[in-house]
Amino acid sequence: MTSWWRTNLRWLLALPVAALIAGGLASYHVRTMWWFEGLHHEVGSAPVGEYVSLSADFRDGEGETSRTLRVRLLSIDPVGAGPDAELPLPGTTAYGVRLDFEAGADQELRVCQVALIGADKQRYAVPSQPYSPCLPQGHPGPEASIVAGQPRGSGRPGRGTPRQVGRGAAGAHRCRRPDHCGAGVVCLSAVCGVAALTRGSRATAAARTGAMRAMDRARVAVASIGAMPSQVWVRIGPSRPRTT
Amino acid sequence: MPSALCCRPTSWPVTPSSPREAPGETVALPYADVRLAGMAIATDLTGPAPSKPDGRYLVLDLEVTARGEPLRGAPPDVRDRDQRRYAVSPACAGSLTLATGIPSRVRLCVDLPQSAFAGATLVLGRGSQDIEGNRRDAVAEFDLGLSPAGATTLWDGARPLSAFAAGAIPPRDWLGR
Repeated sequence: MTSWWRTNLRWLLALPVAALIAGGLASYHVRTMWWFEGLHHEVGSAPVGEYVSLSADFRDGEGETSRTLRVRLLSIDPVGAGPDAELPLPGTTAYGVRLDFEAGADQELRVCQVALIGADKQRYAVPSQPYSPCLPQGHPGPEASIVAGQPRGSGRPGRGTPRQVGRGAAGAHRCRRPDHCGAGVVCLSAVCGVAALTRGSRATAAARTGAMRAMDRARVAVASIGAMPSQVWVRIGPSRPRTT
Repeated sequence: MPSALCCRPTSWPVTPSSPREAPGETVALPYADVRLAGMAIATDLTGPAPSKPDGRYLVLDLEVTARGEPLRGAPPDVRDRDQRRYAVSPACAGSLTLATGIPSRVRLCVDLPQSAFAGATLVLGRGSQDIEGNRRDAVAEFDLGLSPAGATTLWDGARPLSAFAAGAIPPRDWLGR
């Protein structure tokens, strides 16, 4: 070993360690600014009409917990002007997405986001979606435990309270079609017994007409954000473009 | 470290009577296309919620199109030649929240003292107030091209403009074209 190596070997060995430390220190915002901002963990996929399950562990004000739901895509159709369609504007088309959710009565599903992934790979979503587009209006289910000491499922009395679809009260909106929903399961869409298709089970996304022309190739991303791990999501849609 | 993408408008109007004669360049960020369409100085903002500045409002009209996914923008700011930062007024757009692929008109209004106009730059990027500003990725930086003489001319010719935040349909006194 030459004298140069004897002098510098320990510093050369320290270089990778220093690089790791520097990289770690520089990545302190990766979790906040990248991981929580995107969809990074696809946990399932299904073709149109078939259910796909989504289960996620998360931590709320009471501690570690989880939530599970099933969802299927019923349709993606252009929608005209109306209360559900802020658009269409010139050069754009608004699409209504009908989703059918199922979840246990004790599942807290308030933070949810629905987006369309177009044939052009772009993710279309209304930036200011309702608080939870996955829940029917007036029946939001149990409230989240956001801060320590706040019990799960507590909420203000009145319309849409957890008493209706919360723990131990699953019958309030139990589905009319038992093949869809069993005991203790609440369905959240029109298909399973809520009187009319509510805004809660429908999301509207707007996209440029040209980009979204091949809507049969579009896919729906159901992402969970906020209290839920944002990276957990499912993808629904045809795996290949239709040929007919 | 943010990468700064600068563009200097070819020739900004220096008289408020011709604010539409000099459209700016488009900055192609990885997540959005941003074009500074027009600029003027306003004595006050009119509309349902009128607003008067302590100095005068620097009004910047932008055309922004989000690419890839919906855009959550960090609150933009204007920096004077000494790099002092001035926040945008809530009387116009406070930050950018835009749908994918749909061009949106955005009006920013910044309450500035007269001394801050010359040499001012506009900086905007992705992020949100929830995450303490921008995401430390690419930002658009527009040199507004205001010389001391040009700033004085604009200051003296200031006029009321309408308060407007963002949308696909611009206000009547939109400064771009």
